[in-house]
Amino acid sequence: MGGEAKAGGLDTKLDNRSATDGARGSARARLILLVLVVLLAPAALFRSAFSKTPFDGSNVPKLRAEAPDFVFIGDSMLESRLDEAVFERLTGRRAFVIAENGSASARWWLAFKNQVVAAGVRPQRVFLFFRDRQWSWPEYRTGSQYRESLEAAAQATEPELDQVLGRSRSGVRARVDAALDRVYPIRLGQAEALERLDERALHWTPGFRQAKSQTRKAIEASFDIKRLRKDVGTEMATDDGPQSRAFDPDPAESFLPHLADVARQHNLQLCLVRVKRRPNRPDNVRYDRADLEPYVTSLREWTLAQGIGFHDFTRDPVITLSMYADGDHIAAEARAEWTRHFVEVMGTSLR
Amino acid sequence: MIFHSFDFLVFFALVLVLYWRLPHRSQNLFLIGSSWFFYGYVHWWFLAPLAFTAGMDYLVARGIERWPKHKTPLLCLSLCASLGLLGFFKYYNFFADNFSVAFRSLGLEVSDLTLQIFLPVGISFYTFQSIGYVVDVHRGKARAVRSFSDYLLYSAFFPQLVAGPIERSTHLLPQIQQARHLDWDGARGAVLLILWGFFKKLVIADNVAVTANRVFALEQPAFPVLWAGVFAFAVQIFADFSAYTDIARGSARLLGFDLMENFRHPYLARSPQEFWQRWHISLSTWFRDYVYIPLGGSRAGPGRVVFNLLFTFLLSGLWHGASWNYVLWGLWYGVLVVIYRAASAVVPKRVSESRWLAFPRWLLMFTLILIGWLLFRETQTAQLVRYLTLDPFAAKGSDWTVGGYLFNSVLLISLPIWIHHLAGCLPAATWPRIETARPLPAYVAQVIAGVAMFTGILVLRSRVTSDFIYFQF
Repeated sequence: MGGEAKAGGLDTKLDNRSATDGARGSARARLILLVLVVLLAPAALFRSAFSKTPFDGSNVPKLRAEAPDFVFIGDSMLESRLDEAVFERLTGRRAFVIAENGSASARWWLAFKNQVVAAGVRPQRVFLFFRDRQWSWPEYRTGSQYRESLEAAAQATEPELDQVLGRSRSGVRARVDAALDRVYPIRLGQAEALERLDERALHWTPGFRQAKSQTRKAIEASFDIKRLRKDVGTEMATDDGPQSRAFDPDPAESFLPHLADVARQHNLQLCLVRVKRRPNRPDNVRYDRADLEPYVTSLREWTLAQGIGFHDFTRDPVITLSMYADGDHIAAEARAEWTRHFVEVMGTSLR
Repeated sequence: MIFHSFDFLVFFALVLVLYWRLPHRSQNLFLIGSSWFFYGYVHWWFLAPLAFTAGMDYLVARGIERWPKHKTPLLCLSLCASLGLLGFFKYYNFFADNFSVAFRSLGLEVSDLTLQIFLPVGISFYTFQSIGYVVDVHRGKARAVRSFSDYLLYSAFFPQLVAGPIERSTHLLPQIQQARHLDWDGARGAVLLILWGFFKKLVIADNVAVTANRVFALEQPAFPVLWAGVFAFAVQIFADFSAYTDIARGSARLLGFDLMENFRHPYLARSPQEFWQRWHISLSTWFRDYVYIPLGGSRAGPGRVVFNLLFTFLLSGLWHGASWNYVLWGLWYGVLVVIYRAASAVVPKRVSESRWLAFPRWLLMFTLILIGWLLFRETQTAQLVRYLTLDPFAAKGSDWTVGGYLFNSVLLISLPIWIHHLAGCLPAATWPRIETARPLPAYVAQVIAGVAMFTGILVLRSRVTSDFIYFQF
């Protein structure tokens, strides 16, 4: 009897243990299933939602048709400064401007290679407008909302772009990032999704539907740079990005060596134009971090050694604060004046 | 190391895999090494003040038990050392600066006394956790830990080291001393908690931070624009801080630890007392147990109670940072608690707790919370005065439109937080009851929530990521 009771107790213990093991097993299975579904569902559900923006080659035939004497490449710094009509009138030569707001060195490299070089034109000079250390900050303005514009300027394969932006480098992080983009193409829709959300918020704003453009203007005016606190304004004007003290001409670190190579192969003359950022001292001088100077000196030395022109407007006393609109942009009414001054300064190189 | 980094994900995955292969004592040693690696990852010297505080308080607590007659001087030694270290790193420049200003206002010339000091992240958190332990041993509420390695792990446990929750020795130390087992059902909840934390940080906090930063960068925002910005900051700070806590609690749970709850739907509060029972619970209960009650708490006369409340909240404000706006923020809640207590003595309970007054009471408290966040966010006193004296009637129609747009954009991105808050209105046992009664639908709901959060992180993460706000404290 006692033995049976003992055996019965052991059975119960074993039953309990196997029941516990069973429960543990199913809890583990539920966890594994949850993790797998969470990780795999976004990859499977949104596979084809986002693909590469097709290449926009519309500038190529325009360049061929116009056969310009000078090509200008840059961002809003270029757009807000150069008045094409005034330039052409003063020099008597044809100009072609490729200015995309919010672009940076990656986009400029693609514009040069896939538009100017691809068009087969032979301009006398190609000007590239830039600020501070942009040639050493290749990843600047290549992600999120800039992705679409970059893709539109890129062909299906862009080995130099991949090399400089680190997509094909051996670094673990770069590989993981690229792998995540491949596994989860939905990541590429970030800018679009956030814009849609913002647009929805705008639609819910009272009065928006009746006065869309006024509402947008009111929002822009509320956050105009002139309305910023002085301490914040100073912060914004500081030199962003990697604080390199010297220009590194490693082709894996900058697009400039690639530009120099391709220009040499096609007998094209490049000229870098460093624009004057908004003066931040009352005497119309632009004050920058002390370590920017050795960087610019090294950049200038390297470009001149490559046979590339280099012109620095940073200390130009003719360009005064009164010519500026917001940030580093030149006011629309001062564009003609700026262009006249540019033509004067560049002198012989425009003849 | 920060939670929302690739480095942390790799680090945590490795820790998790190796940790569960080790026996209990080795697990503890492994966690100490991992925690030190985690904390010293960017600046190895951060480990020096941490090791000093841990070593000091371990020895002091042992000394208190060994020489009970000298327990009070030993406690004082520990407090002086811990608070001295915290005071040097966090408050030296604040006091030196104000000292100079005071002397200059008296016409006395004083040279600049401030120093270039780099504040070790999380120093306020681990210092308070260590002080709590020594005081508990002094009071006889906890036994001094014999194993130094156990105490080192208590002081440096990486999930909660940098921004809490500030754990109690009576809660965390027994978990360190006992063998731990992985609860698979608990692990499922932990994974979802971590995902929710990442979602709140990367999608909500970092996105609304853009709106808050834009508004607080303006010299003279219009009334509706300013308050839309304050609303954005209210969402940002909650999403940001509670995200840290969720990731910390989830990570700890995967290692077999249970960390205390730090947030309980704070924006549902209908009184300042209730707000502090829901917001940063580990800090508010710390101040209650180690400052307010030792001062006499609510048992003293009315004048003394008012002093106790104001003093405790002032210290709580100062804990957040060495700046007058944090002192003001602390005092703001002190004054509110005093007023609400006085009102509750006058207004009959059946009136104050009437269902009809629930919404107006919530609305009033939420407005008061927003005023508090304005005090918290703006560090420049002159600017704060300008903000607080803004005239709503001076705002133009277009200002109301811009304010409305900002409010909508914040509300839209933070909708999951408000839905989660609404769920907080349900009785606490609702979800466990559903899980028991209907396990399959509950499981499916968890899977859907997990997929939604992960998809949200992939597609709606902010373009600009920032550090957790509470790292600076």
